[in-house]
Amino acid sequence: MDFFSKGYSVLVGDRGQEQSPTETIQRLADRAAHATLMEDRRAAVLSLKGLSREYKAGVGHAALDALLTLLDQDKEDPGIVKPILETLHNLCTHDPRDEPATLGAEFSAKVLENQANVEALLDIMVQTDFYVRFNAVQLLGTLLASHPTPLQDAILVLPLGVGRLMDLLDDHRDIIRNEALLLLITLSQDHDDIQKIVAFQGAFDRLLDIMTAEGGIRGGIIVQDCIQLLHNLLRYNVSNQNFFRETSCIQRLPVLLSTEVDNANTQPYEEEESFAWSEQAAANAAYLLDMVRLLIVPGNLNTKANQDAIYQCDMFAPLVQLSLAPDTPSAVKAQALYALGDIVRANHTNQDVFMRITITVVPDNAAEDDTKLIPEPVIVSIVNIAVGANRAGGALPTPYAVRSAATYLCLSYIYDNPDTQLALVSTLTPPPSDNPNSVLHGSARSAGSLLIEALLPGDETAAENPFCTWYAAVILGHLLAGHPTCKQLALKVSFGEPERGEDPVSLMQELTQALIHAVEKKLDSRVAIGLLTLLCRWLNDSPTSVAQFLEESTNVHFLIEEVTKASGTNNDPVVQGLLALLLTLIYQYNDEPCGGLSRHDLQPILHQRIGIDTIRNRLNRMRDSKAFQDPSFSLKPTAFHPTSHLPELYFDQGFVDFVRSNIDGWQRALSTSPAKVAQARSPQPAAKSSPSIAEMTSSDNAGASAGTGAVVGAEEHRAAIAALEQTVQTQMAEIQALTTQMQSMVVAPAEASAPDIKAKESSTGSNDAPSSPAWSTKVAELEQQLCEQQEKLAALEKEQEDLLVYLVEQETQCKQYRARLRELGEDIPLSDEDDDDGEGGEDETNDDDADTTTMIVALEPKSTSTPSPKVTPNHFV
Amino acid sequence: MASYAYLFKYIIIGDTGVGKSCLLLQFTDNRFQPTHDLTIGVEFGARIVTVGNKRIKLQIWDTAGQESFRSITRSYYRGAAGALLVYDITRRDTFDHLATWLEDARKYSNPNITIMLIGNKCDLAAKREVSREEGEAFAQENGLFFIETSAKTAANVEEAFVNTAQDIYDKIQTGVLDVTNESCGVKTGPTQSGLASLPSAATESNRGCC
Repeated sequence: MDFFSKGYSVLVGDRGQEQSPTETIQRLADRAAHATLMEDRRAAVLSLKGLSREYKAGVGHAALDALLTLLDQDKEDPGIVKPILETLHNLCTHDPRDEPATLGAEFSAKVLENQANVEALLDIMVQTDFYVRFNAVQLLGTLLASHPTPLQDAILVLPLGVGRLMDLLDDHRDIIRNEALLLLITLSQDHDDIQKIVAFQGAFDRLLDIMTAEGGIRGGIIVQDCIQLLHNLLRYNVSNQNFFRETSCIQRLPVLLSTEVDNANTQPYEEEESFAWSEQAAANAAYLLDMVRLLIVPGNLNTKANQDAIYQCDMFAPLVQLSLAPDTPSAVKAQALYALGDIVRANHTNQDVFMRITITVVPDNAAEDDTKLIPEPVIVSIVNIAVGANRAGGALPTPYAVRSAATYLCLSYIYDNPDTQLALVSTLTPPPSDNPNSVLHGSARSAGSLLIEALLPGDETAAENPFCTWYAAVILGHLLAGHPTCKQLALKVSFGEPERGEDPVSLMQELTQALIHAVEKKLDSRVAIGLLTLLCRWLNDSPTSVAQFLEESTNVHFLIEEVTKASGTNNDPVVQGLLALLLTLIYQYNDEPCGGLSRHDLQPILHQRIGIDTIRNRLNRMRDSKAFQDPSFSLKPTAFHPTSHLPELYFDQGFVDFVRSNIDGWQRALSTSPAKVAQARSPQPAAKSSPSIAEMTSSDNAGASAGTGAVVGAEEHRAAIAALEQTVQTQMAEIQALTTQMQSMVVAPAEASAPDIKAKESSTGSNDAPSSPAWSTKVAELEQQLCEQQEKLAALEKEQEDLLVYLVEQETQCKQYRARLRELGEDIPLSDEDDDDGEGGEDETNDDDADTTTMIVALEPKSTSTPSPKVTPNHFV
Repeated sequence: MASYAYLFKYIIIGDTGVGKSCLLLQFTDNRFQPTHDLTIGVEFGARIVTVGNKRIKLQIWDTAGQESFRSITRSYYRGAAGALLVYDITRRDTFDHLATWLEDARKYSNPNITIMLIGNKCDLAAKREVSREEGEAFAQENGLFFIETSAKTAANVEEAFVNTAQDIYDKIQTGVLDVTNESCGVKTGPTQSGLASLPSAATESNRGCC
């Protein structure tokens, strides 16, 4: 009590008179600065502390220097350090009553003026006294809030500065640890050097330790704080990202993401409870997934290494679980899907792994009947989410954010990978009905069938849910883009069964019909935009596709009519621009003879009826439209409202890039004369398709010949495949020979200075060249030969395509057989599975491989006693 | 992402332009970059070496030699088990500055830190300004290891890093360094043993079309 009386005696004064506050404060400040006895100094500081709220300006101006000197001088004594820190904190904190309002900031600046003050504050942290540490951290936090840069700079140059703060993370008193965490978050914000030092001082390990101890994403707000600090350290900091990977931190993430109840921590007799999502857990999970994505930003230098590390630590399992489990909150689901997308994007190994993941869907109504648990490729479930098809049973519609994320994953899965592209496209055709597996997969859906269903929905669905078509169109558009074989496969898809007397209608015609319908019925513009972007990607650089489009003559008339309209299609310049684009592509790639309009027929229509300038204007108006200007790379919807209104999504980035880089060429082609369009193009079509086929056959070859499977069925198939390959190869050679022959035929007369054969073709009969009749007969002869050869080539090409499709089917069947045999208990070496992995003695690796790629997701939230269905090692599409 | 028994933290210090970043690049990537890109702040590199039949992961922090970064790089002394103190044998001034670097290292680092003195650019014998003996003498006086290297020809680069690791490893064996104290700059490797058996991503390069 002594110091109380001493303190107040100053206030009262010698003669019992009250003194003015200014005088009192001055006296106290003097005493704090000059008193020789510690007790006196402490009494003075305590009094100042008492006054520091009410007379902030006075205390600050009179005593700040004295307090700071004392802090350094008496830093060993918690008894005085604590009130000093509290007083300083009162002075530096902003208070709404402050006069002037900047008072707190002013005093903060004064504290920071001298580097020694910061050093003293950090030195104080060595003391373990709770209040000392707590107040010191708080004071630093206050200083940092008002003057981030000076304090960051001051701490940076103190060799032990950051280390002292990092040590606080190990404090067993949660309050101090948490305060330190908050301080470090602010401190490391936007400061590369501090971020590196914090990482160097072992931040990653310590943070992951804390998170693990708190139960991963199931933990509280402290976990979120840890993730935030990790965010700060990793974002924009490549060096730290490398460090994170090199210190094996990525390996620690899957556990944190897991929602499965940790068996080690639960009592043996306790009923196993499934995890229930809290708001905090959802925030933690979404945030942690966001952090994972920081490591694998598409296009970054170290993305590949991080993707590989993520695969090796088996992060697929928890991510797939989060993506597909029905009780996962939407925000988390979307982030998990995006994360998966970034993990597989442009990484062939990971795309492969993803292709081989199968999941077992436990239907809602599956009570005891566990015999029908059919594993399906995970991509099927992802496509299902994307197109929003799972609305049976009155389930809520999937939010757009989740569907966009699922679409992004689909696009990432096929990004830069013709193999996965082809694998998905091949599912567009339903399996042959005589396939014994169709009993097993009879009702099962394939990715392709889901896409087609979504593209061609009933009337009400299209009107009600335009995005049903849109997402499916974006995915299919990417599936066909730049892949001639895929386009050929898609051309073969048709509906209607001839046996029942129905005329088969091709997918292309169905889509065009849907487009015409959407425009005529004035459905939401996204339906038309989706279908048009798909058709544009399909017809681009593909004369056979253009030919199929033109088979129905009304199609092109529809285009011409709509493009001519002065008011835009349904007053929408974007749709009209896309229609004009489609027309342009048709003009440019109309190389194949077909029943419809030829390029020569089209030219006058474009030039005279519509006008080249009009078409160009239509194109440019679309290009300059807002919808086209800000496409979304990640397809992230702007609004997060689940159903209330449609998100502002019109174009995907891929399509916009595709148009931007080609539009000039297309526009040029418009004014090129019909005969020269094909020549003006670089010799793409033929050159492009053949190598890709060659590549495929050779890789198939390697795969087929590598296996030495013991199964007779598989052996037979292999033989069949090999035979087919042989055929394909001989035909390839034949085609090549024919092509060269044809070329030499074209070149020979041209060299002889005869008029251009192509020109002649166009103006038949009007032979104006002053050459001898012998020449003209020769030319006619050659022309005929050329026609014949062309026909032959086309026939061969068709045959080859058919064989290729057959090959794909055989391969699929082979795999299904193998899987089935294995289910039946047949022992098949696993190396047989990997088509490319022919070396023996790798069985162990493959075992592990199988484990990493197969998982079961119970699509029922609370499946209490569902017996774990038997896991078969591997299932292929 | 192979496993390892221990993890050692290194720092590389010394005047600007003596070849610190080049030594690191040669050690981690086996390549040499003739142009001098100033290191800004601190850069990070890592590699696994084998010492005494144990796999040891080296985490190496390459610091900026410029005076203006000096205060920042001091933060990295604490928590380093090894320091590579580099000078340029063709520039006498870089040798003369060793004393101040050493003073910093002694002041801010763990007392048991292993310091390797490196005379770099030994391929440029014609331009030599600091003799090998001088380097050796300085090392002896101050209780440092000594080696002459060339980041360009890779001569002795491996040895510089590995010999340092050997000494740190010996200190652990003899109990001088405590692996549980993180400020010593050494740590035991991750304990998850299952990792080693994971398939390597390289085995699958291409596959069939379905």
